[in-house]
Amino acid sequence: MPSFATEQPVETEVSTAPVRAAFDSPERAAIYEEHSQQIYYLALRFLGDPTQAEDATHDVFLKAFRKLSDFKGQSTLRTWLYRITINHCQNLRQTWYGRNVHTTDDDTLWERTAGAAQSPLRVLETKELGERIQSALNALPEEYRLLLLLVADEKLSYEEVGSLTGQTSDAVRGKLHRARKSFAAIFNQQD
Amino acid sequence: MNRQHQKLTRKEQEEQQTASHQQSGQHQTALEFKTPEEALRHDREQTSVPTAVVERLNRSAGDLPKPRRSWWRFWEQE
Repeated sequence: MPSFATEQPVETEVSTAPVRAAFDSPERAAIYEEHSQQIYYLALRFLGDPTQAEDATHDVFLKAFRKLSDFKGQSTLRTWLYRITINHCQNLRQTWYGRNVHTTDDDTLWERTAGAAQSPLRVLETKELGERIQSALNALPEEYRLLLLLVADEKLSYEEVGSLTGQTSDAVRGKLHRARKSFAAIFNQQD
Repeated sequence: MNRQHQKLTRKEQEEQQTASHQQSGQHQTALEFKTPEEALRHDREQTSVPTAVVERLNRSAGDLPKPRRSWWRFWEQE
């Protein structure tokens, strides 16, 4: 089992007015308002650490603001931001997590969890949900974790998920099936 | 005797009702998701971006030149 932290972020009330007021540029404020929750959530659940996710969100948007003139519109802005986020988070994981965390390989995980994935996912309280999701994601191979997190964004097509993860949309569909089953089995084993 | 029996019965009914309310209360807070994506979406909606990110970002981006064009905004709205 991996030894990721399962610390949960502190929930804070955020309204959009302070966001707009905080930025000098309305364009930057609009980008941040539209995409920050998805970017932060991807970083949070991919890295499993609220502090690192906060830093990553800051770094990703700063990088995006710097390179905004390079954005050619060949993908959606959301996809472009996801690409920056994935690269950033993977670099972080390679430098720190790679030395400290050992994840279970796919086959071992599959053997251990197959057959326990048919039930719906149940939790008693919303508070518990985040912890259980993080634990289940931490136990998955990185590729599955990323696929699930990207597919959870309704705005992304399978083609876009494939483009972000360097594979075809058919490959995404195939791997997603296994990722869903593995996630559900691990999630339900936590009861 | 008979009245005592009625009292007991009423008490039992009240206990059953209380237990039933407690159970239904649990059901109200219980969450069920058919797919991992559903659970992740719900979790994402419950997760707020820390306000400190905006403040840090604005400080860090303060030195950057402001975007000259906002064509991407129109493109995004298509």
